Amino acid sequence: MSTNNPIKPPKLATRIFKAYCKNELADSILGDMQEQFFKQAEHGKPMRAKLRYWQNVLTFVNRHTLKSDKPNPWFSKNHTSMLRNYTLVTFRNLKKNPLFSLINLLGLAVGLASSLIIFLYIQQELSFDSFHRNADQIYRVTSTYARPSATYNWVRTPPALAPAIKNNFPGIGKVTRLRSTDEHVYFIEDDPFILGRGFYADSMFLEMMDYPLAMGNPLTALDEPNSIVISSDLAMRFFGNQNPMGKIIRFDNELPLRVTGVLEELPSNTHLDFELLISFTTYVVPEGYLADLNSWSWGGFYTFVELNADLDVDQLEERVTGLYEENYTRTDTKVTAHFQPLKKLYLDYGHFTNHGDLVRLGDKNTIFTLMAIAILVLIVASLNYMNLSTAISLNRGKEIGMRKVMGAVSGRIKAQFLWESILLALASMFIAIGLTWLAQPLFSDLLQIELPTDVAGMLGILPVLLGVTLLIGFLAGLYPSFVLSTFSPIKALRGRLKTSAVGNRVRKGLTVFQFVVSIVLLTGSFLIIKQTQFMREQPLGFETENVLILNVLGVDMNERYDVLKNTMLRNPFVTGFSESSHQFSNSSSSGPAHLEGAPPSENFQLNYYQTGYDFIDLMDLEITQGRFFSKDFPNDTASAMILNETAVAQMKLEDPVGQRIQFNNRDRVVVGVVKDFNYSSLHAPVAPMAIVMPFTIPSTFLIKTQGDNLTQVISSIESDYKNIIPEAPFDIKFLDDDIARMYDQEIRLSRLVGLFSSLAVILACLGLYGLVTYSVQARLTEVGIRKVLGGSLSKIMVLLSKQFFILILVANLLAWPLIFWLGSNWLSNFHYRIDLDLSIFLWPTLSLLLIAAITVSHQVIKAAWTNPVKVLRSE
Amino acid sequence: MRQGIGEFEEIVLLVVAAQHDHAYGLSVTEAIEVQLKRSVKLSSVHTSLYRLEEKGLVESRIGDTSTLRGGRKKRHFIITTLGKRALIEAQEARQTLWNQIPSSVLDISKG
Repeated sequence: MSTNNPIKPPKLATRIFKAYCKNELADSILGDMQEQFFKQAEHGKPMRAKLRYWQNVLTFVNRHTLKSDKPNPWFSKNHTSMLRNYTLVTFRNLKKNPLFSLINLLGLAVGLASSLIIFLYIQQELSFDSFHRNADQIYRVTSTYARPSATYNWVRTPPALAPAIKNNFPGIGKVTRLRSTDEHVYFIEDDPFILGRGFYADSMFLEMMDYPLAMGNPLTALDEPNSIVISSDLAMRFFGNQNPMGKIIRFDNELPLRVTGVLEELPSNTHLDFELLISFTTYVVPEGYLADLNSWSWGGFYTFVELNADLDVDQLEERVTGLYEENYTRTDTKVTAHFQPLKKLYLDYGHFTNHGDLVRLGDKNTIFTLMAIAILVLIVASLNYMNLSTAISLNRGKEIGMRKVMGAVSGRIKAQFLWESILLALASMFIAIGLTWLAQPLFSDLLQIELPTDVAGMLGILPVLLGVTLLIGFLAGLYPSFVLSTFSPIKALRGRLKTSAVGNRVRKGLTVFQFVVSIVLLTGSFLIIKQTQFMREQPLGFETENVLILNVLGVDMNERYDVLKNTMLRNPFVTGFSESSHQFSNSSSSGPAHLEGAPPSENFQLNYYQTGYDFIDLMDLEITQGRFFSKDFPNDTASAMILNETAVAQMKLEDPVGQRIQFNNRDRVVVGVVKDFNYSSLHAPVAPMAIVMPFTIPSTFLIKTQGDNLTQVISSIESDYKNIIPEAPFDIKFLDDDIARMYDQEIRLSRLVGLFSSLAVILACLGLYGLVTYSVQARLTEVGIRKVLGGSLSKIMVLLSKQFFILILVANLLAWPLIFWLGSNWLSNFHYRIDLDLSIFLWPTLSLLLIAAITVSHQVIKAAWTNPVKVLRSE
Repeated sequence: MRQGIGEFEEIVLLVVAAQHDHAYGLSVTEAIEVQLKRSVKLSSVHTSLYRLEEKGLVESRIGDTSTLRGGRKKRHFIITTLGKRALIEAQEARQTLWNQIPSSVLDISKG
């Protein structure tokens, strides 16, 4: 070895080592490391020596070698070291009062979590269709038909509109049409599948909207006639693991369609709801329709346009309106076109007469209601947090007194409590995020709400959440910090703190506010539940139990209808069988009616329903005048019509039977009047309605059954059906289920409001608990003296709890008018509604009183049982 | 109850005892590497020595230096009475186990 060996240990490594290693160990370890280095370098392995040296530097990091006592410059500053002390004391206090602290933290966390959930949901609802790259340029063309009798807003437009826009305004951008496929049977080999969620779509559709294809080319997939694009779910169901591309699907067992694309799973926030697309060129106008694809009066097609960026929408609307003026032939109608932005379709539909099909619709009211609830719950939670924090802090008189004696000015005490409050709020924020994550399955199962599960969605809302949390922490900390910092050290050192009368009033005010919110929410959910129940139990005027709806699709029923009917009627479980033009809960068709002899401009719009002779008995309806359709009158099939009472009243017919009416371009005679029945949702009053006999044999049938064993009944009907129509699937539903589905929205709303209002009640009770604890503690001396002087247990309990019940009563008095106002507003959405009577107010109030009594009694009983010696000894 | 020592600690302690009065981090490391043919990191030996010191099984003092070390002093480790007792106990424990093995088992020639 030579002493002037050029190889030296790496300097940087040595420096790093010196930076972390304790001084007293550094020298000897470095010596060892260097000795090892030089020995290895001497053996002619300088690289390995260096590597070993570095490895040593990195592996020597452990608790024996790390510097521990070197003062950190940040913590060494005076105010930051106090911050460290405050944090320490915060944790000590949490430990000292674990139950109370847990209640406090959890209360705020639950409040934060529920608003977080609601905000996530609202964010999702507001994001509909924003995933399309050009969403801001895409519009749906809708039209308004202004007639002397009424004005109609249609979301769907005539089939000739889209080609006309394309031809007349070549520079406009992209134009596409959609027509729903209705339910059909799709055959894969010999397996039939009934599918209804599909569109005939122009070839431009997949270029305009961003529904990505897992297979196939979006630019060409819908170009050829007889092309079909299916969802990946369908591809799996139809073909399993085989490659679906190019496979043949037989539409109604006749028309072969070739699979030209497979859709990726649709985003959950698309307003169009479909699982298959068929190229528009495949579409054939069904037999029996009076219109063709050049029609300007058949409003059955969605028209979408994607505008080139610089076009003026208002001007375009005018020019498209001009197209209607040129082509629409009815002179009594003024048609105007509107361009509705794609992103608004999901929520902004209230002005439309008809909402179209296969679209998902949100509800603005639900969003507003939930938003209000979220904010209220958040406020209640923060107030509660504030009350509880104050209550806990009041036991800390000695600490505050001591701090003051040691020289803390009131500003430092304020800073301490603010810091504590913010720290705890942050802690609850993390608990809230955890709770939200845990609650996600509950929301998707119970409430059918899809929350965004992706991290990006959660992260997007994190800054807002953090801001809100810090704000709550700060505001909630303000009150206790000001209260606690003003005590004189002598008073504070005596232990228990008492606040001023003003402070008491503030806290009572807050509690009253919390209870007003809870009562409003609780009564609100009670009201919604009652109304929903009322609607479901409301006599509809017809038989709903034991009625089944049978759908026969893709089969020519002309020959087999009689066989089917006779076989069914011979079945011992079947007591009635009737054809039906559509299911009850679906929107019915409507047509214009013109009374004979009335001026030509006087038109009525009547909903109509097509059915056969047995309908009236099957549904248990009542004929008030005239008769129902009868086989004795062969003309009935073509020219008879039945009106409901509302239609008679609306058309002001004094003697309706025998009245001639031109309905849907056919001359008809009214043969009878049926008592009103609620054939659609109870939001609206019964609309005027006509019943006529079907033009062709429909594909939907109503079957009335008897027998308790439903499985037996249905399997018996199914075997009869399979004997007659073996090729089509057996598709049967219950009428009650169908009707119940009309109230899905209300049921969901009632569950949501119910859930969050119970949370609000729990939070309010936590706040009450804090208040009770606080004021009972403050009066312990008084309780002691009363007991010594012979006050009875019950008297003391009444004395202590009286004020809280007064608070709750005040809250009730304030809440009732509010509920009355909000409740009547909401109920006015319904034609059939419950009265806002006393029972609506009574039950929530009583239950709240009970819950409050339980909350209060715990502390009150504890105080009343206290041994007076304990509290009076120190006085 | 006295803190037990691990297998590696026992080896380190043995080497410290063997190199009486001259043991320091690197010497122990080298001894283990050369004599036991076991690859070992300098840092693990040091850590082990400090832990033994914490347990009171060895003591350390600052010792001499050499040019090879750039003038840095060695930290010498010496076994304490407690350490000696721990070694003896460990050996006795092993011996007890050894003695329990039937002689036929260890007769390698029989396979």
